[in-house]
Amino acid sequence: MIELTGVSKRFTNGREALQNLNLTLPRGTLTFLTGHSGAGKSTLLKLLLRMELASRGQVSVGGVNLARMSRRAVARYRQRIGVVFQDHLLLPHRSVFDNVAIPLVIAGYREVDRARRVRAALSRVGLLDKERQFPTQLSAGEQQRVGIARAVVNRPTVLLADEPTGNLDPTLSREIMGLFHLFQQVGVTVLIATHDLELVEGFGDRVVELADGRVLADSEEVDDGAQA
Amino acid sequence: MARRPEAAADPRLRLARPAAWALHHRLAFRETLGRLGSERFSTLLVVLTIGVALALPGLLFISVERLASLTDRWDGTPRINVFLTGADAEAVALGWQTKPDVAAVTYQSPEASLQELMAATGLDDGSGGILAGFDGNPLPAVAIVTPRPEAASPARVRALAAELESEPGVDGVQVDLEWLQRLQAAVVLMERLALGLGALLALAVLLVVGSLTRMAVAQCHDEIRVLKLVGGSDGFVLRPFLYLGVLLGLSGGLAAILLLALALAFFSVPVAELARSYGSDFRLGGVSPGLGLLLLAGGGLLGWLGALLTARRQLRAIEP
Repeated sequence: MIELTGVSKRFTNGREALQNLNLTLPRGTLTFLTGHSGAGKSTLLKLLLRMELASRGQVSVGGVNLARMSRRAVARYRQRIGVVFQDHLLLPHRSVFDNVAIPLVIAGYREVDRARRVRAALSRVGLLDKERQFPTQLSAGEQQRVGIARAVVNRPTVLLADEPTGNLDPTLSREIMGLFHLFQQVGVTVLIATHDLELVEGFGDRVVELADGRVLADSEEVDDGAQA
Repeated sequence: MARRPEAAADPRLRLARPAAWALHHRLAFRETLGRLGSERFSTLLVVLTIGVALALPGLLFISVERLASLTDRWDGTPRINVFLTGADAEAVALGWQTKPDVAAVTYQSPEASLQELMAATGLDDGSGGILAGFDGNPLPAVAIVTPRPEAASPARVRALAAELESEPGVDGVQVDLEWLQRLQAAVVLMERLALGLGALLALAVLLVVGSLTRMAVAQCHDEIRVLKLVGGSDGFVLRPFLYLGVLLGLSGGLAAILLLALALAFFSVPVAELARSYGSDFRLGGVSPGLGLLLLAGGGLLGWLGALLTARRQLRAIEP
């Protein structure tokens, strides 16, 4: 379970990206995080990835307060988190196969298991035939799919995605979303930051809308209210 | 209620920690080899620089070792060579055995001295050679006087030499103490020089490897960010750079051994000829296995340390 309690984030330039944010994401749920540019979506993902620390409040994942982790514990924690970046962050001089295999190498998987898992992940994103190519030889959409394969290859317990369908056509976007749902169905907590409201509305999952670092709307709360 | 995440990473598929550690080392080693191989020319320059830096103190060390072996052959007891004239030289010399500070006297006749000289210099060619130009045997009789151990201090040896010089029938006295003392002092000085130079050049190796490591880390900045983002620990991202330092240091040590072997081969003939002209069988020799191992281990260790000191702090500063 992901839990944010009274979380604020103020950067050194004085900008307050998040303000007194309270949010709970139960295990095995899929949540869309929406909002305009600068609403705080990326900052929230960075807090969950422990790239940033909250200025106030507490961020905990699986009951562990992220602020109290040692450097080694942060590395171990990140091995359990799958993350899809908006700008892919692929290593240009490594092949597609090697890029996807990185989390498995770090986690210490056998070579044969690495190969099997990498190919399974590439197969899911439709890039099995490109495993020997390098990221620079791929289109932006294909690079995005390699990033997704890398995020899911280690079968994470939490999957964070920052605009994962930004460079994909609508059909492929739906396929990728379907893949995220498959992971959610087997217990992975998925949080997807996106501004593609059209895509979000098609799935009927929980949607949390941020504005100026605050929760503007939460579909789950609305539903709860309707039930009440 | 959420179901058990069967999709989560299966720990059964992971290697045990030592095996995973070995896997990380193997991959880091392979990656570093690839990096060095892709920049062959600059790698060669750095390896040669380290090789020269290690070879210089190595050469001085070998020189000191060989010179020290010369003084080691001396048993520590000074000897006084007394040159004698007169027909009763042998009786005079043997009479000194009763002196309180004298342990032994060895008499060597002019004929024996001549034979020894001819054997040592190869002047005996059957025709008399250069010695044919002399009128008879030009060499004097020699008494080699060995002082008692308790009288072997430089002052008492000099006093005994002065006493013997004043004896009748004595033409001259030579004490072999001073040149050995000077040689030993020179050896000690050279040892200090080798140590000082070694320390300075070890620092140079650290700086060379450190500088190269710093550049390598800067080149890999984006890759390090990504590795840390997907769970690479500080040790995981540091490892390839440590291998870089160790491989450069080991290669530098190997280059130093080759350079030393070349230098010793270059100098060995003239040094041997110079030594022979002084009646010595002194040889420079080659690089001993011990020194070779020292250069390899020293190079590897310095490379590792240079990379560690530079990369660790730099890598900690790179955060995703």
